[in-house]
Amino acid sequence: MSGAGVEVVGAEVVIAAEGVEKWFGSRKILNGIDLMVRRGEVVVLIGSSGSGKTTFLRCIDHLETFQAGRIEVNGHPVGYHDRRGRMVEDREANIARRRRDIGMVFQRFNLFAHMNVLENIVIAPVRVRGEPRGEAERRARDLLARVGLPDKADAFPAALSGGQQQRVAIARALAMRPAVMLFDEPTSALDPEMVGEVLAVMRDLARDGMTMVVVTHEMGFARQVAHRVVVLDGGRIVEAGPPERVFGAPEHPRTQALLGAVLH
Amino acid sequence: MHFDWSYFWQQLFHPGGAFLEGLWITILVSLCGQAIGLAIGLPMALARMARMPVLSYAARAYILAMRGTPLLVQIVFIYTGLAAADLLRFHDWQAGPFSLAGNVQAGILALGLNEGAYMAEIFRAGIDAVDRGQTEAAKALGMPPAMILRRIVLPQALRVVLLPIGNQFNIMLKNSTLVSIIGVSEMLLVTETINSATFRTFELYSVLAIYFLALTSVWSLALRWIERRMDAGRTQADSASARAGAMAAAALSEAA
Repeated sequence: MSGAGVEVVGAEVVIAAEGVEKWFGSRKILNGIDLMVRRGEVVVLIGSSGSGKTTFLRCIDHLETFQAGRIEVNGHPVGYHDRRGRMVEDREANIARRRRDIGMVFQRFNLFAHMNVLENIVIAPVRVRGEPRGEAERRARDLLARVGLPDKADAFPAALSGGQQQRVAIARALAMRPAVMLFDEPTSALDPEMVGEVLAVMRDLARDGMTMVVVTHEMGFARQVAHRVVVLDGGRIVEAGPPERVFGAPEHPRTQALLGAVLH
Repeated sequence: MHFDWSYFWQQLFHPGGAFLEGLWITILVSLCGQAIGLAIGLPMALARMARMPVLSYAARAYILAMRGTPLLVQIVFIYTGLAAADLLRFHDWQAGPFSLAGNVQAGILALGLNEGAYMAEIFRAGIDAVDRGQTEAAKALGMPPAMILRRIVLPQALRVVLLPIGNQFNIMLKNSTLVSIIGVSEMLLVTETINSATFRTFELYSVLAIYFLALTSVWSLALRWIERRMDAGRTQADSASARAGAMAAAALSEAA
C-alpha cells in the first residue's frame, strides 16, 4: 500500500481502521479492512456492488455494526468501547457524541422533509452542539452560499432538485464542523445533468483541505481529486494507491476488470 | 305502518332535557375516552417498537387483549367485574359544580383503554411510514435517540396519523353507546328510557340515529378542514409520501 498522498504525509491520523470484519448472518461482508486516513486527505473507495465499500463507510459512522477489528476517529473508537480488551457496543448517547465530528452525506440526501433548508442546516448545531441560533443561522447562510444555493434558505426539500438537495445535505453536514466527511455514493441517485454541480462542491471542499472518504463510481472525480484510490473486492482491499497508479497501471485483476467495466 | 310525524319532529327539534343531557354525556364520554386513548397510544406504540423484549411483549399483550375481546365485555369487566372482585370500585366524584358518576368514569376508562390499543397501532404505522433515511441522517448529525424521535420522526409521523385518528374518533362516537350497558345515561339509554314510557320506538330511534349522523358528519367536516389546512402548508412530494403512509395506516385501522 502506498499510504497517504504527498500533500498529507505526516499529518495526524483522522480515521484508523484495523482488521474490520462484518458478517450478515453467515455471509462475510467485510473481511479484514485496514485503512488510515490523515487530515486533509481525500480517499476514494471504489469497487463493484457487493464489494463492501458502502458497508465499510457506514461502519465508520457506526450506522452499521461490525464484529471484529476497530475503527477510531480522532483517536476514539466509534460505537464501541474497550472492556478488558473486548470491544463492547456503546450507549446510544455516547455513539451520538462521537458522530458529531463525522459528517455523512447519503446517496438519497435524506433532508428532513418537514423542515425548510435553513432549519435542516441549523437544527444539529443548535440542538446538538448548543450553538446560539443567530450564530448558527448566519453560518448556515454562509454554507448555503458556499454550495451555491444562497437563495434557497426558505425552500422545503421537496421543492428542490436532487442536485440542490444533495448540496444542502453537504451544507447540513458541514454545519457541525466535522473532522471528516463521508460520502456514500453522493451522485448515484442524481440525474446526469446534476452530477456535475455536486462534484464541483465536493471538489471545492477537497481543495479547502477537508478530510474526505468518498464511495463513488465517478472515476473522473477519483482521478482528479483523490489523493488515494482504494479498491475493494469481496470485503477486502485489493489495491490502493495514488489515482495515477491505480488507474494508469492497475495491478490487481479485479481492478483491471472494474476499470474496464466502468471506462468502456 | 303508523309513523307519528309530529312526535318525530318534536323529538328531533325540541328534544327534552334528558335527551340533551344524554347528548352531552355521549360527547363527554367520547372526548374523554379519545383523550385517554391518545395518551396511552403513543407510549404504547413506542413500547411495542422498543428493543427491550419486556416492554415490547407487554405492549403486544395489551394490544392483543384490547383488540381481541369485545368492547362491551371490557366495559362490564371494568365496572362490574373489578368491583365484584373487590379490586376497584368507581365512586361518584364531585368538585364544585362538576360531578362525574362512577359508571361514567368506568365507561370513559374502558373506552379509553380500548382506544389506546388502536391508537398504538396507528401511531406505530405512522412512525413506520417515516423514511428510515430520516433517522439515519439525524443519527449521523449526532442526535441522541430521544431528540430524533421528538424533532425528526414524530412531527412527520403525526401528519400521517391524523386521518386514521380522525376516523377512529368517528368509531368512538358510535361505540360510546356501549356504555349504556353499565347504566350511563348517554343518548341510547335516554332514548330507551323515553321509549319504555311512550312506545314510540320507530320515531325515537330515528331521532337517535339522526343525532349520531349529525355528530359524525360534523366531525367529518371538521376533519376535512384540518386536513386541508395541513395540506396547504405542505409540498407535493412530502404530501404524496405522507398520503401513502396515511393510506397504510387507515388500511391497518380498518383491518383491525
